[in-house]
Amino acid sequence: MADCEKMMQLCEESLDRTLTAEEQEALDRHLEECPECAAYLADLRFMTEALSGDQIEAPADLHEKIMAGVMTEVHSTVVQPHVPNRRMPVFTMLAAAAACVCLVMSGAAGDLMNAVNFQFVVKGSGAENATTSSAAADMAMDSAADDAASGYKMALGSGSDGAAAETAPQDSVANDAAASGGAGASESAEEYENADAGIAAYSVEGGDMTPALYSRNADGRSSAAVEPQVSAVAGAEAYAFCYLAEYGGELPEIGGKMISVDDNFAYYVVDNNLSQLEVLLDGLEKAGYSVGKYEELGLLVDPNAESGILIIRLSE
Amino acid sequence: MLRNEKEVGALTGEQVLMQRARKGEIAAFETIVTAYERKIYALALRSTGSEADAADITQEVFLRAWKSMGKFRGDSSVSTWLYRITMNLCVDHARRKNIQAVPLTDEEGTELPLPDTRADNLPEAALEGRELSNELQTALGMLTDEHRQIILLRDVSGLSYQEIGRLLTLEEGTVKSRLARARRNLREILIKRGNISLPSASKYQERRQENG
Repeated sequence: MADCEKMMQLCEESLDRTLTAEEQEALDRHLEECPECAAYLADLRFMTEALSGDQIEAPADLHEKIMAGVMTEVHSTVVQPHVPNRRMPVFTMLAAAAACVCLVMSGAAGDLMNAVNFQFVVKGSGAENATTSSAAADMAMDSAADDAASGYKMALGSGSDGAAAETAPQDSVANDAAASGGAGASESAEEYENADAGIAAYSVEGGDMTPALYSRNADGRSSAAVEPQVSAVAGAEAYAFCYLAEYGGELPEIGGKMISVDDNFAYYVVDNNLSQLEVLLDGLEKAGYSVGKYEELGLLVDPNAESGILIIRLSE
Repeated sequence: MLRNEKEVGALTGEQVLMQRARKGEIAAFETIVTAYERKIYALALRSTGSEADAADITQEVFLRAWKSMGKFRGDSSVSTWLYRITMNLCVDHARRKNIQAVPLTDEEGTELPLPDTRADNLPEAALEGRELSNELQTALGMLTDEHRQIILLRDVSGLSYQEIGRLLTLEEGTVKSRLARARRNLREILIKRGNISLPSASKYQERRQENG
């Protein structure tokens, strides 16, 4: 038949439902008188239906496998050297701080029973604070408790290398090098969770993301700048936390009270309010400050205290 | 039915999901995975004829999608993008298979999805369905890459002429005519092999049997 070729094309399109009403009518008329084209259309329908993917079920575990593959990729690329390592979230850090109470108290009393008592107290408050439930914090508490129980004497507020090395694991278990390297690397341990202690830290210019040698850590405490003297200026005997912010630009609004200032440092007392604190520290980091928890307080760390301390290093 | 799902997908803001996924939000990416994994798997299964290969390809598609998310251009649709990755992987797979040069027999390249013991218990219709799909698979394998690809995209995945055109960078008219040729060839192959009865083929088969 003369227009069979054209009609076969229409058969195709009728499957795909792209025919106009007139075309469909023309096709129907043709099919009535042309068994070959009618057979062609029937075969096409049969093939198309048999091929349809509608009935194909994917294996039950396919979704999991896909996501597992993607997650592996996520984890292998998530550690990027050019992203600055941030301090831990406040919640996590406070859990570690709670562990610190245990150490400081047991050291002060030099009494094993005391250590055990406080261990109990600390575990309770730590669990409340550690809403991020960081495994590192948990482990830190355990290791801190172990240390205390085995009779380590922590010098209260000492700046000695030994003390610093022992406190390091509380803040960043991941950073073994900080502890084993000694040399007071506790700050770097908490400021740079992913860094190899004292090597990959960041340039001191505000906002600069370029990794740079952090000379203070590389050389140990010997070349370190002047340390803040918290105990000398503090009014209360216990604080919930103490943060040190260094090397930044213009200070953001600090919603606390400045209690002291000298050539090197300004000391602020801020409310023990976690969300406020997070906002404050974020603000400081945005202004280019590197912010870390400051350990060598010479004071009691008590998560339930009314306020905490923020120290700003003014200049080198 | 597939076409309807796709329309719904577009309305629920796949582009927005992609933007969120690009920022590293895995939950957003997972939503896309959920929407497309079965379709991608079906396409890969019809293309390779092997459930294991289809599963591997599906995983690889989404892994590549995740890795190349930065390159995803907002002007093409998510489905086009995913199907394009799938087609590329399927073509690669077919080439590798050809290099291995396994001689094709009637049963070749059509791994039985279930052990034989269980096949005995299948209802007749399901068994027929599987034989049919095995036969189709073999026939598809005898088409050229171009023809196989276009039939898969249209009949398995249910893409429109327009979508296929975008995917293969072809004019819509070319899509239409290539699809017609591909279907005609597939039909020819099926009729010649005579293993399944197409609605029109019973006459051919009778004739063949008389002659044989």
